[in-house]
Amino acid sequence: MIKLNLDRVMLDRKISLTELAERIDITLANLSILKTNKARAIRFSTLDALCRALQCQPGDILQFVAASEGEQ
Amino acid sequence: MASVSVLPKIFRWVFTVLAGLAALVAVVLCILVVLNPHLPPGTHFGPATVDLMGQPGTVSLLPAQGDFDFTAQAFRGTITLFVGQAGDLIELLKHYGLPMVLVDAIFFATLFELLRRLFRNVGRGDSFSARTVRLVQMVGGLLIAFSFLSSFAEGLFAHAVFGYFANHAVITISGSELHLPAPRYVMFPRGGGFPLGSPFFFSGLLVLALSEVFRQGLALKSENELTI
Repeated sequence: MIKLNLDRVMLDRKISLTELAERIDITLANLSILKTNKARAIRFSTLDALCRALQCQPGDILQFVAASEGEQ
Repeated sequence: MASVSVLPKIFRWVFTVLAGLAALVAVVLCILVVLNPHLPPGTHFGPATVDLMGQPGTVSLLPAQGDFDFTAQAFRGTITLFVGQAGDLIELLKHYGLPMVLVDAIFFATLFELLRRLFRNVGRGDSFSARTVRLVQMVGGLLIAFSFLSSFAEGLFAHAVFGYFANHAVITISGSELHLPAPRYVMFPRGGGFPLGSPFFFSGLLVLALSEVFRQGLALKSENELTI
């Protein structure tokens, strides 16, 4: 499965959920869905905005976790 | 979510009123079927001018010898249908006609209620949901089922009325009397035995086809859910 490490990157950049939501212009609820890994898919436009705001690469946010590893 | 127009709200209220009226008619018809009222002796009706095959005609029901005489005239009196002692005709119309109209009223009450629920969901912006798809499928199924049922009921009604006319009615055309032959079998109107001619049948097929569009819309919506 694909896991989003948004919380870790946000912690590194010392940015709050509200501030990031304002910067990339998406709702707090949707950003929360991304942060808690409840999203089923992510648009390129959202990924682009996240990378721009957090000054990182998609690989810093996205991570592939094998199914058994993800369940642990 | 796209904004919802005022139209579903209007439709919802229209169908609420129509469903209520149809239910009221159904209840009144049920009471009539149970009470089985009889025309009081001496009741008379007409002669009233009615449209008969695109021409003005008259219909009358007049008391005669403790019963009623029914007369219908068309084409300026050149064609006359006379039924003496027509009390049985009224009973026959009551026994076959009332249940037929009752089925119609129940059908329309159910249809309008389903449409009210459908537009309530659409008004909430819930167009592509499992409930809406099921409602659209139910409307389609109801229309098709009713096309068969109404065809059968109308066939029975026509058979009973024409059977009665064959035995009791006298038709006069330009002074010559003739008697109707009795129908040999129950004729199903609208398509000679199959309700293909019924607009309800094709409407039902169309609505069922539309339900597939809604089902695919629901699948697309589910696919896009939680995509951020």
